[in-house]
Amino acid sequence: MSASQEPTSSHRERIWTELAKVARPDSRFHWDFSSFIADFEGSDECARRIRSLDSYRMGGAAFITPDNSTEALRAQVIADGRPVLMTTYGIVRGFLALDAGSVKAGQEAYAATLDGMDRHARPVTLAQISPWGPLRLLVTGGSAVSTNGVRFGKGHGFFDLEWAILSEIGVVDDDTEIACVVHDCQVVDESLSGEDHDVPVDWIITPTRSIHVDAPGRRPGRVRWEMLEGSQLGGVPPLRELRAGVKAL
Amino acid sequence: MHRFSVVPETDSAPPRYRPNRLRTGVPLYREVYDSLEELVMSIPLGDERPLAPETQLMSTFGVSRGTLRRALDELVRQDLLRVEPGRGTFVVQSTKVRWLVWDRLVEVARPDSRFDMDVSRFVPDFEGRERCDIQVQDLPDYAQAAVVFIAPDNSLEALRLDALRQGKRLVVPTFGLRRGLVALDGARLSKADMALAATLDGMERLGTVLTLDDLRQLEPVGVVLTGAVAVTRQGLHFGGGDGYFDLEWALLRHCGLASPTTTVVAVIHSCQLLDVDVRPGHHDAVADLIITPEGAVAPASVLPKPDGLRWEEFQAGIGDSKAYVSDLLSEITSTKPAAIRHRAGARR
Repeated sequence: MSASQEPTSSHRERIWTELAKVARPDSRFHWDFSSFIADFEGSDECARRIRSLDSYRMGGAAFITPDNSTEALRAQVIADGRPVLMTTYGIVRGFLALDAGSVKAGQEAYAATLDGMDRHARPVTLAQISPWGPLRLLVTGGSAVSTNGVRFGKGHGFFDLEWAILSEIGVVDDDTEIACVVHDCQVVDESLSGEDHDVPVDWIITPTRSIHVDAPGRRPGRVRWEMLEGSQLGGVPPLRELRAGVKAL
Repeated sequence: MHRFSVVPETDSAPPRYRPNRLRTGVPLYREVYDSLEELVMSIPLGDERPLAPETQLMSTFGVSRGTLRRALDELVRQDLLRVEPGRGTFVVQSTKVRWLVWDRLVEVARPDSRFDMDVSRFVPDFEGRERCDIQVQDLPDYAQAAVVFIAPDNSLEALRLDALRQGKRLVVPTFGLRRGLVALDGARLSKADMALAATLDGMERLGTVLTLDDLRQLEPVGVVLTGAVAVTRQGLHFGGGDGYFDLEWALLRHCGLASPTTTVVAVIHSCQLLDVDVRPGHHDAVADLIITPEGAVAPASVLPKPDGLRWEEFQAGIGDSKAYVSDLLSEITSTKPAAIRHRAGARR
C-alpha cells in the first residue's frame, strides 16, 4: 500500500466527473453533489448485496442514513418487514423510525424516499432508540471511500456524529458493522488517512463488489462538543437530549 | 461563559434565513446593520419614501460614515435596500415583503425533507392547508378540468395527489424548473404509485419530462394552482423559494396551454395575504382567486396578466445551471443573453 495521504481536490473532481455519468439528480439540489449523496445506476444491486451480509441477516433494526444512494436499500429493508432507523437530512430534526410492518404493501418505494420517510416514519428520541440496540448494521452513502475503509461524505461530518450519538447511548458496540454504499467510481484504490474523528467502515458495497476492510480500527464514537459549539448542528434534538442527559425509560 | 450558551436552542433560535446575529465579538457595522434592518422592517409596507440622509443616520447610530456605509452596503447586497444616486436610499418592497412573511410563515410551516424550516428556500406546506384543498376541489374550474397545472410547492402536494386520483393529467414543473416540466397522467398511473407521484422525489420517476414541443401538444390546462410567498388582496403574486411561477405562467402562455382567461388560483396561509398594495418587483404574476384556510378572496378587479416573457427581466433571475430554462428561453426569445447572472446567493 502506498503511504497514507489526505484525499485531494483532484480525487473529488475526478470522482464527481465520473459520478455525474451514472448519478441521478436530487429533487431539490439538482446536480449539486456538495448538498446530497447521489443515487446512481446499480444502487438496487448494492441493496441486494447489503441484505446478504451476515450483520443484516442477524435481524433487528438497520440504521440507514438519509442519502439518495441508500433509498433502494430502505425500500428493500421495508419490504423485508424489518424496522428502519434513520436520521432526517442534516440530522436537523433528529431520528426517525419506521416500524416493521408499518408500510402498506406497494408503498415501500414511496416510504423509502426522503419525502415519503417524513410521511411514514415517526420521530423518535434517543430514549426511544435505546431499546433498539445493539444495532448490528449501519449503512451510509458517501462521496468517496478508500479501500482501507476511510469514508468521505458531504464534508459536514453527519455520519461521524450519528456514530458518536449511537455510541454515546450504547446501541452500537464492537460487533456493529458499518457498510458504505458507493458506485465503483467512488472507490479510491489508495490508502487514505482520515481525520481523528472519521469513522472507518467495514464494508464497501458497490454494484459489482463487496469489499471487506480488515481491521478498520474503529473506536467508539464520542460527541465532540467543542467542535459543535456555536454551530447550528449543536442545537439538533438528539444533541440537546444528550446534553440534558438521556432520560431513562 | 457557559460552554453551550452560544448554541441557540431551537425554540429561541432566530429564523435560519436571517444573517447570523448571535455571534460573539460582533463588529460594529454588524450592530448597525441589525439596527438598520430593524428600522427598515418597522416602516409600514408601501411607504416608499427614502431613508433619512446618511448624516442623520450617522448621528442616530453614533457611528462614522465608513461604518454606516458598510452596513448599508450589506443591506444593498441582501437586496433589502436600493441606492439611487442623487435621490437617496430606498427600501426594496418586494424583499421586505418576503422577509416579513417568512418571519410569520415559519410559525405555521411544515418542514421540508431537505430544507427543514428554511422557508426562504421552498414554499412550505402549512397548518390548516387541508381546509384550502376542500375549497379548491369545489371550484368548477378545477372539478371540470382534464388537465391541471400545479406548482411544485409542498403546500400543493395533496392537491397534486387529488388531481391524479380524479384521473386528471397533471403538468408540474420540477423544483426550480431545473429539469423542466413533467406530465403525470392520473388515468394511467396505478393507484399505488400516486402518492409517490405527487411528491417532488417521485414525480420524475413516474412522469414524463416535457419538451417545448410536448407542451404544445397538450390540451390547454383548465386551471393553474400555485403557492406563493405572499399575495396581495389585488392578486399580485410574490414568488418564493426557488420558484419561478412567473416564468412558468409565461411558458404556459407561450405554448398555448393557458389563455388570459385561464383561472390562476393561489393557495396560501392567511399570514401570506397582504392587505396593502405593494408591487412584487420585476416579475409580476397575477392570481384571480386566493384560497386561504379561512376562505377565498377574489380580487375586486382582475389585473392584467403578463402574456409572455419579458426576457430582460428574467435575464437576471436565471442561472446558467438551469440549462433547460435557458434552452426554452433562447427558443422563445430572439435575443440571446449577453451575460447571465445567478441570483443564488443574493441572500445569505
